[in-house]
Amino acid sequence: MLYLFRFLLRLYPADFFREFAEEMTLVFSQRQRDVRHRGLWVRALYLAREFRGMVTGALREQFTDVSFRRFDMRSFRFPRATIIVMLVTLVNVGFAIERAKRITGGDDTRSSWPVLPGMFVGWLVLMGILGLIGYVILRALSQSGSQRLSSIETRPQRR
Amino acid sequence: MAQLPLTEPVLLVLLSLAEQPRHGYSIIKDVEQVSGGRVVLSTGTLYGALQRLLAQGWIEDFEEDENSRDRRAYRLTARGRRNLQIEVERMKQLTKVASLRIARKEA
Repeated sequence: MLYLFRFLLRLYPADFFREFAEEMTLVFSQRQRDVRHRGLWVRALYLAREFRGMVTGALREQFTDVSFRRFDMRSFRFPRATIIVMLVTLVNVGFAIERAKRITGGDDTRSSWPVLPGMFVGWLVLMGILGLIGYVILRALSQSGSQRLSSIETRPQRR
Repeated sequence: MAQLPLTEPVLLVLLSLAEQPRHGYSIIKDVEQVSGGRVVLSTGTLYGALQRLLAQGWIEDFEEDENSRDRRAYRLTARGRRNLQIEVERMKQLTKVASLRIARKEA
């Protein structure tokens, strides 16, 4: 279990990992000792809560990290952990669609699983194109020097 | 960002640290006790909350044992205590209004 916990810690942003991984592992071990001699149900509940907390916590931290970090293309590296997080999210979306179909009980009984990878790639391509368009617009504005308009003095300063 | 009103886990973490400085494990145990076993923080939830509170300057960490990171403890800062008081006052006010309205409905 400790091995799985350490693996899930890798889903967190690098800064968070450096700061808290050691301490979190220690706390997890201490709590594991607490439930070691409790019933199977208590242990299962504890582990489910821990792993759910780890995955949702990692997603939240990754999102916060991406939102607040100064974005610099030269230092950008696609974190390997993000691929795992994206795959977990994709599987969750698949399950949600299947469940929604069962609840609504519609005529369409075909599974959504075969089309999901295509949708996933399609979204990635679309996001890439939108990003490229945004980059081209910003680059054109930067070349035109329009960002310097705000510093133009419209009336001579009094001396 | 820890903004007012606070989420329940963040409020309970702050309440736990309001009494005395604590380590991560001790916070989890105290929160469980204070909430009567209703709230059991997972390690991920606790450290996510601690990270945000540290970034906001509501809590600070310190090493009890200079040679080990394992003994890192957390305590409330003056800012954290002030914000906790504001939140508790807000909840008191809300509880007062709620009690009055419920009593009026019952009468």
